[in-house]
Amino acid sequence: MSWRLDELSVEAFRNALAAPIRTAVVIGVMSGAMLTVTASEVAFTRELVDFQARSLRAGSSVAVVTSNSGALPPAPCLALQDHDGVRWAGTLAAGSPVELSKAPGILVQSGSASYGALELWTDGTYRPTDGSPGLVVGGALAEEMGLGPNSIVQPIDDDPGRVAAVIDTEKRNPAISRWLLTPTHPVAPVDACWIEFAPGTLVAGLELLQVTYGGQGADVSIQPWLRSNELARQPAQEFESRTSRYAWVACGLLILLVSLLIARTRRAEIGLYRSAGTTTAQLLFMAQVETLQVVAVGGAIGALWGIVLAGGGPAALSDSTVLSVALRSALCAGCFTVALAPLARLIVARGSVVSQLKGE
Amino acid sequence: MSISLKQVEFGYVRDRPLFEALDLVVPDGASVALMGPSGTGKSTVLALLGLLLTPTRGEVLLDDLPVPRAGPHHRRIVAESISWVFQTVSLLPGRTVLDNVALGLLARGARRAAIEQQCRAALDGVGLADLADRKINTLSGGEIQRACVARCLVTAPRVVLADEPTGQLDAANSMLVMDAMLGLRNGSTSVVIATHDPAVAARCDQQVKLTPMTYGRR
Repeated sequence: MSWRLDELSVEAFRNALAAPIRTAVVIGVMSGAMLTVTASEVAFTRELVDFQARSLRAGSSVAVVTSNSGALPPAPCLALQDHDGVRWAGTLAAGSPVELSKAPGILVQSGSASYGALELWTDGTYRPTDGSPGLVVGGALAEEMGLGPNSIVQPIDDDPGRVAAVIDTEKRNPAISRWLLTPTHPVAPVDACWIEFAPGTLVAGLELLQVTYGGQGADVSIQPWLRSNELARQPAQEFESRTSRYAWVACGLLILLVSLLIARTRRAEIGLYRSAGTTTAQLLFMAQVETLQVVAVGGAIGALWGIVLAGGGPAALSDSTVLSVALRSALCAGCFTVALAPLARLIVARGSVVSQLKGE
Repeated sequence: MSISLKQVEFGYVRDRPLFEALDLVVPDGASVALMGPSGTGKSTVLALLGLLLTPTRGEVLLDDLPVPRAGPHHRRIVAESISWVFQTVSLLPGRTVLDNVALGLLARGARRAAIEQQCRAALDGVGLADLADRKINTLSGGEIQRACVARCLVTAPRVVLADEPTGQLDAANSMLVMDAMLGLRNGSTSVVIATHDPAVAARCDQQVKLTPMTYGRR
């Protein structure tokens, strides 16, 4: 007969409680290591997620089609609005400059834009509705002219119009922030077609545009809207090649080192168990149970703090992207640590029981 | 149970044996004191008898039957027949006296709840009944050694091996420990004690003196 596994587990639990300082030190090291693992992962992931959000807001999935030989037919552009993977599609046609009665001598660019384009430029913050005729004024023009919703705009030599909305287009199309726009369903040729695709599908979207416009024999230019250096980043590749993804290995090795140092101070205890007939396998099982407790307590504390500190507060705990990356790393670190833990005990358990009992 | 070493050779360093052709017989129920200066191999003889070390040559016999050198049968004999008392504190320091006394029985597959009374009775036998729930690190040296004896005897071992059990105790405590160890064993339990103390040795049935080794020969 030999140890019952349940009694062996209780023994390991009581040993951990019997040495509170030792247990606290190991839990502290474990929680510090786990904090580092999760914090590095969370910080990296958040930076990428924020970058993606920023670049999306800046129009990283937007493409513009213009005609090199003149006007562009509006129908293919408007038809794209119903295509899978297209968030918004809309047209822009420049009109004649107008002179407003409240600013004589200053010419203001006028134009017409389809509803999809207006939504695209404002990232969906402006949702024009059918049957709400009125003018849409770019933010810069509205500020300079003191215009707001329901203001009356009186062009010289034309009928007055009511301002339906002032839109902020600074992020996505700053060029029209001084335009006076008329929302429209165009039938006449337009100057440009603006399309926003679903995040991450710009390349496929550009191919779709080639198919849509290339087949008509038109000499068109199809370009992504933003081509800044910042957007040259490859978030998916960066995420896959991040060094913090291997932090759990360092965590496991650190805990192994600490376990080894502590196990060396417990040689007499190990010898005592061996002299009572405890087998090496049972000693390893005890080590694993003890480590499991430390990982469960220290790991949970460390991971929680890592997520909260690097995630910018408790709200990070409800961010599923951040949480899944952090917990995956924490789980890897925990499992690796538990798997390695018996190694320390195995190394120390080797040798003569007599010398272990004498603490040699 | 009788235990003996037959023509045993052993050394910690290759080609430098500590013993050559060592014979030692501990009869059933006898108590034997191993004496001799430090370094003569008293602890090593105990470790060979306790099957913690394996002889390079020769055999260990239990009830005149050779003990296998390894394997489950070997481990079972170690676990079920032999108990140890050491000079150094061979108890778990942060645990209670009761936990420590229970260790040997737990290692034999007992359930903690089922052996509590048995362990308390063993502690009563060495005069520590009142200290059962105290932590080991709150006891005196004499109390600790008596707790060791209780842990050793609670398993009703057939052989008790004691390595300088009174080495760190005064005369009065030494005698209390010896009383417990020799008085509480059952009739067939053999006891082998390594000691420097002539008073302790005098309590045993036999005294065996180990002499310092001249290289290669004793």
